[in-house]
Amino acid sequence: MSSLIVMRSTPYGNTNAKDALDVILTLAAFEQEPVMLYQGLGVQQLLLEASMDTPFKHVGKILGALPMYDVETVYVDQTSLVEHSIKPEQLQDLPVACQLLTSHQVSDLLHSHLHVMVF
Amino acid sequence: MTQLTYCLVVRCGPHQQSQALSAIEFARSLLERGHKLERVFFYQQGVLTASSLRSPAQGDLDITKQWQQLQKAHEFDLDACIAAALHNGIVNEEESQRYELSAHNLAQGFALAGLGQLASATVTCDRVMTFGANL
Repeated sequence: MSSLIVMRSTPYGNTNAKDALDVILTLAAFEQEPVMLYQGLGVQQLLLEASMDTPFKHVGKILGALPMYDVETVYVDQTSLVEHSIKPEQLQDLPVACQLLTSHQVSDLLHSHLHVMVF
Repeated sequence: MTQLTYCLVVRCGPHQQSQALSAIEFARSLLERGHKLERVFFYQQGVLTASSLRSPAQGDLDITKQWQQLQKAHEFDLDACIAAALHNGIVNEEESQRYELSAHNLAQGFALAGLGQLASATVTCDRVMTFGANL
């Protein structure tokens, strides 16, 4: 039974993104095959180029480690991308593949997981 | 009715009353309905719940005490993430000695645990729920 981790926080000004990735890497190390969904402000985490000068470590480098933990694909809420003016092309060079989901598909994904952690 | 085993993840501090309260109310409800609570995992600001030095203002609920009472009655694990606890100044005697700190303050009934405990709870529990809003 895999866990769904919902990334809903901006990467700036708090450590939610990093704390969520710590959980994901731990789950993966325990072979729990975590599933990731980027939603709301969380989609900003996928803009590695937009790294700002903050005292918090940028999550970009950790994303690069995901394939080593067998996390090859992450889900991204398409509506959230539109809301934050992010084009799908901007996600092309990420170390993980992004699969865009419609609102209905997001709903299905949430319903299909009994273990959900929101960050 | 099918009995389910739950793990609750609490991400918010005890002073963030409504969210912290939702977690303990949910725990109470599920136990009242005959479900099993295996573990409450305190992460991020949630670890502040595990401090024995909290003194809530008069009239405010003492969430730490409430968890301790509930645990006494129902026997489940109250785990504070060790990395988050160390960041937030919550230590047990062992860690206090290891880091040569002047005191220790982990509240009774709580334990420090690694993220591995959370991962293992996702294996053994039927449901994992998160409490704590994103600001």
